[in-house]
Amino acid sequence: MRNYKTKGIVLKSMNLGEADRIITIYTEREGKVAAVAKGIRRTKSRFGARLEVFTDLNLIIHRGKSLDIITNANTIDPHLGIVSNLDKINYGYAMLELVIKTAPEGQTDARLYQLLAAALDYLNKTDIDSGAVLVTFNIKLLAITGFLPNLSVCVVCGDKDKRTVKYSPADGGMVCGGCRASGREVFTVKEPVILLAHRLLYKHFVEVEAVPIEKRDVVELARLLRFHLAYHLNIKLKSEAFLE
Amino acid sequence: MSYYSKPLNNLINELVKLPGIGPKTAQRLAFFILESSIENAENLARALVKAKSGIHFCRDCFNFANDELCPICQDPKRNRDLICVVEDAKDIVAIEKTHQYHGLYHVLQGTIAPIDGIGPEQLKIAQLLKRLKNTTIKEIVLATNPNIEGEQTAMYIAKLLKPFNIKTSRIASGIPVGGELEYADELTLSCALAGRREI
Repeated sequence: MRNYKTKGIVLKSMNLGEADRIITIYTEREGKVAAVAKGIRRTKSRFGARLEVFTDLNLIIHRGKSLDIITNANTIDPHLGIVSNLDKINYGYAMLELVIKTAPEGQTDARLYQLLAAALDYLNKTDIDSGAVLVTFNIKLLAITGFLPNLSVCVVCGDKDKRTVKYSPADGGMVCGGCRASGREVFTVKEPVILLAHRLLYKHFVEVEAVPIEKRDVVELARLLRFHLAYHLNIKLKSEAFLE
Repeated sequence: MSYYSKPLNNLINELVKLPGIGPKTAQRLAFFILESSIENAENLARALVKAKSGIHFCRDCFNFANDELCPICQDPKRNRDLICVVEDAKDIVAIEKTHQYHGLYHVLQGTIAPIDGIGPEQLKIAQLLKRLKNTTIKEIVLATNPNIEGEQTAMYIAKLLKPFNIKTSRIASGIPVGGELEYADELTLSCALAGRREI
């Protein structure tokens, strides 16, 4: 089949030639796809604003020789609550950048599409701190991609002693006092931060509102995940500089 | 292995660096230049060098100019109470073609793009704020493109302009003239409804 139908979320767009754009989309069926939207920059383009970033849509895409071509796009949700709020735009961009940088092209994971759609839907409607939404998305994304730091037990000996909690980026999780290798960088992580990480990981976005969240714990958890991403995936988010 | 002489190869290699020019088009352009008269080739070379060395950014608005100020900033007939903020110098041409706007401009030279790491400090936003001090500006029209990056940039500038107590407006967006409602997408139609006017 040269054409395929899929749901997708627009991650990024880049001008191409006179009036076209290359749109990067995370699709449910084909994973991360870069496809051309022909004539989209013309005022009377049939795509209109349907292929703006953050938009969740139903797509028909034609498989091209080098790049795919978008032939049809119908909006599921343009996420107006995000695009009309400067603060939410910045947090939303950080989510999109996380997907761009962690999802390899040609690898399909419908769970990642569903996670991004749920996170954007929630950010679109909620009044809670956008930082908490981003950190929830981040930790769930790491779980899906298999890079979640082990925050339950000491990764070396399996000890559950919470009084000696130190996070070691090199070991990929918590290490207890006895197993800490000298010379390795470690950070102290307070127990409420670990508790928050577990709560956010196992709750649906709609349930996050009920979780008691302290701003300082969110900041601390975001910092831990930032170190983890930088160490294990060599990812530094450019959009992070725009948060708050 | 190259099939062309070295000067021809160099010409093709330089042309292929231009946006929208692939190897085949570069080859066609190079052959056209070779087949045309020496005067034409010299005129093209002179025009390129003259444009590159003689044109710089306007001191006030950052439009292209061959003097310290661009022709619009120099024009005494322009309305100096109005500044229209645009992303790119090409946008000035589009607005000028309407013959509806007679104020001054300010070219940001891009938009905020978090994913590409382009922040406000890389744009001419600080220069815009500097321009507003000790002037008689009464209104700022934010005419960045009506896409997410353009909207984000406009919202950011509007936030910075609040303390100046200057009227700040955003260009309208919605259904294009000659378009049909049936084919409009949700975002465009929402903007059209939000920006409706009394008739």
